[in-house]
Amino acid sequence: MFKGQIISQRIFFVVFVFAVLWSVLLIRSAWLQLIPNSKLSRLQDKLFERTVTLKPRRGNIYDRHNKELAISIPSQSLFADPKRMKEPYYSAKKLAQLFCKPKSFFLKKFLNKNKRFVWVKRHLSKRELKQIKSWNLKGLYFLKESKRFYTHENSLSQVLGFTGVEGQGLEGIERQYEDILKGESQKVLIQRDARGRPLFRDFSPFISKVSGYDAHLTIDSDLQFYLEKGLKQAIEKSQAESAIGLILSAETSEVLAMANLPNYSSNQALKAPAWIRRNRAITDIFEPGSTLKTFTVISALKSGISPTQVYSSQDGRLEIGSAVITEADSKKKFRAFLNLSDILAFSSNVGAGSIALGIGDKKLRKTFKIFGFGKKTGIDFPGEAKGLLRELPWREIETATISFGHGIASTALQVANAYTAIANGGWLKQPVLVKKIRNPYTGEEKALKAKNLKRVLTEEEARTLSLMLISVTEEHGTGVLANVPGYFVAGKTGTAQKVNLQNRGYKKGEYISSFAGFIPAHNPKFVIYLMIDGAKDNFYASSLVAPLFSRVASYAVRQAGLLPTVLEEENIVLTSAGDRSGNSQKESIKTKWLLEKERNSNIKSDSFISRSITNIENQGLTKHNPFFIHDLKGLSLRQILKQLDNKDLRVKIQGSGRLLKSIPQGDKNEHIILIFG
Amino acid sequence: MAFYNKKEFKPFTSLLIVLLTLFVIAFFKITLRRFSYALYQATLTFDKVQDEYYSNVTVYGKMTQTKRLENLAKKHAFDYKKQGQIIQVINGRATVID
Repeated sequence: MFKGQIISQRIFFVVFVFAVLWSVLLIRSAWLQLIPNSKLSRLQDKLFERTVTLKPRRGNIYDRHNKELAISIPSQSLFADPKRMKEPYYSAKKLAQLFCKPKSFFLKKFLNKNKRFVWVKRHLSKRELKQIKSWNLKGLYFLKESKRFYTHENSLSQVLGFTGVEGQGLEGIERQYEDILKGESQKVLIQRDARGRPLFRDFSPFISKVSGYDAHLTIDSDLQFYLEKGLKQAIEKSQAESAIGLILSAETSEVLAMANLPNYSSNQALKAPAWIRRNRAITDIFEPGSTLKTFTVISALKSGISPTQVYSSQDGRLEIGSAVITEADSKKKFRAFLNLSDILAFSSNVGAGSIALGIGDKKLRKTFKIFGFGKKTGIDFPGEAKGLLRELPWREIETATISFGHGIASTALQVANAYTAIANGGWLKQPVLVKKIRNPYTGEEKALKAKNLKRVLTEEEARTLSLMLISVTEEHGTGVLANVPGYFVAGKTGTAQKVNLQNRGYKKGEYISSFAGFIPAHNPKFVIYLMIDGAKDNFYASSLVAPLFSRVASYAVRQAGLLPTVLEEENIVLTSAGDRSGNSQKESIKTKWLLEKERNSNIKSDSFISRSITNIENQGLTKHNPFFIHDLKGLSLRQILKQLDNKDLRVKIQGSGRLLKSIPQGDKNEHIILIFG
Repeated sequence: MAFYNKKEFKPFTSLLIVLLTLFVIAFFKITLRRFSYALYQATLTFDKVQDEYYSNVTVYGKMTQTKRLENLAKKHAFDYKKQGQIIQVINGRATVID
């Protein structure tokens, strides 16, 4: 019995020891599993967690109608791990054949066993990618990247700019809006399993929508294309060196088109020379010439000089000390006396010089300054030049030459923006290229509006200027070829000698031909500035640039759906729904007109047309066309007032005699200015 | 075995509860991991679809280039309107005067 007790005690003891040990193990296990331990958590995190930096996709660039201009597309780049390469010589040989580079270029990278990562080629094409994958070479790997692609190739190349290999903006809008387009990279903490696959962590998503903002430009790509096409034709025709074109919205100063020719392919930007890549409309300054006479006249008006004030044409010669100012075309003879309107219409240097000498350098400089010359416009684009406006005092000869655009330098944008101030009724605004930025995932938008800088003209002054500038595009004006049938066009030509940058003075036989104007003149929508540099053939703006302006302006107004303002006989439409006898109606009106003409030769065809229009309006056929006005040329005031008796129009009268011109005003032509002479 | 006797089954009840709890916890953790793998697959698919979308956008952008549309229009005898040409649309009927 005693022996039995000892044995059972020993058994109990062993069982007890094992039970204690197992309990300790279980308790320890439970303790580790259930009780938090910061040291162990840190160890676990270090083993299984990684911080991954998600690179954002670069935002796209669109035009004002949401057409893609620049997008980021996925691409594969090739890199090598020299330590893992089994056949460096063979790999180098194959790659040299594919990329047409020397074998040594690749061998240098592959034989450096200290490195674990060397770039071979960034942004492979589809063909290259397929070829390299088919070789299945060890040590060569692919990395997914983003590549910038410009859908319109050459169009708008200087404005959009381009990006570098790493995707950073180097020029143009890409550079100006780099911070907005590139977005912010996001660091995400990701847990990985034993195979390295990412896992949830605290239910935080790891599909990260990381992207830069999209930029929507004010540019209309159709207008841009047409403008570039026109400039290209003009360059080819005149064998010019280059050309610049700008179309701004008259109301808001938004840039609708900005062309610099020659241009380059944005998808191969670095192959183009640096001077072509520059947006010369903003970065380059030049002497604008006679387009600045408009501002000399503005200066005169602001000094209290009446529009009817006359200046002697002095037989085309203005002597200032030992210097002589002559007209651009010395053979052309002007009238003995020219008023402000004539000085613009005939582009008289002598007239402009006389005005400038009369008002003085201070007032002239002040006017140029308030219209933005000599300082940046503030457009959202890098590298803008501010131009050159001399400090006071100016000598007499400088005052006279600056009055017609020599001795002062500006950019094309400054000139266009200054004309916009006239077109919109007197407000100088800050031009803009980017309308809004938008988050592509959340849809959040931020509009970037043009700033109203200051009022530089009263509405009355702006209207007077517009009338004067209309005379430039009328018969006998230098800009007659800028006319657009059916519309009033206001503008000014400019043919300026080119400055000799090496020596003093001007280059012989080299000119900058330009035209600045707006359409429709009574209710401007578009301000267009065109400049052709170094035309060899036919360099006068009146015959080279003015017709181009007419074509571009004609396209712009039609694209915008602006109905013509001036009716002429051939423009009358006499059809209505279901009425197929339009032609016969027109014929019957023609016959009546001929009879009427025989009966009373004093009545001009225009007055007959106006009566026909009255009849048509009574029939309600033109009720869809509120913008048509009557063409009442040649009638006396009494006749006109009789014509307009039943019309709800407010009339403003200038001058006396027979009607020379009638200009509608306002959105619905509810006002009309009648100019008699 | 005396499993029909509830009193004899009682000592195992607590053990069973503990085991069941542990099993449920393990089950939820495994399910979470399965969801993670499914989401990872979805991410890869999303990336592929997004890449395809941007490739299509490139193609669309090239197709709608103004120059290309102009060439296409000319092939079908369309042309730019002449200056002074007016097209009037009244009550849906268009008349061209040039």
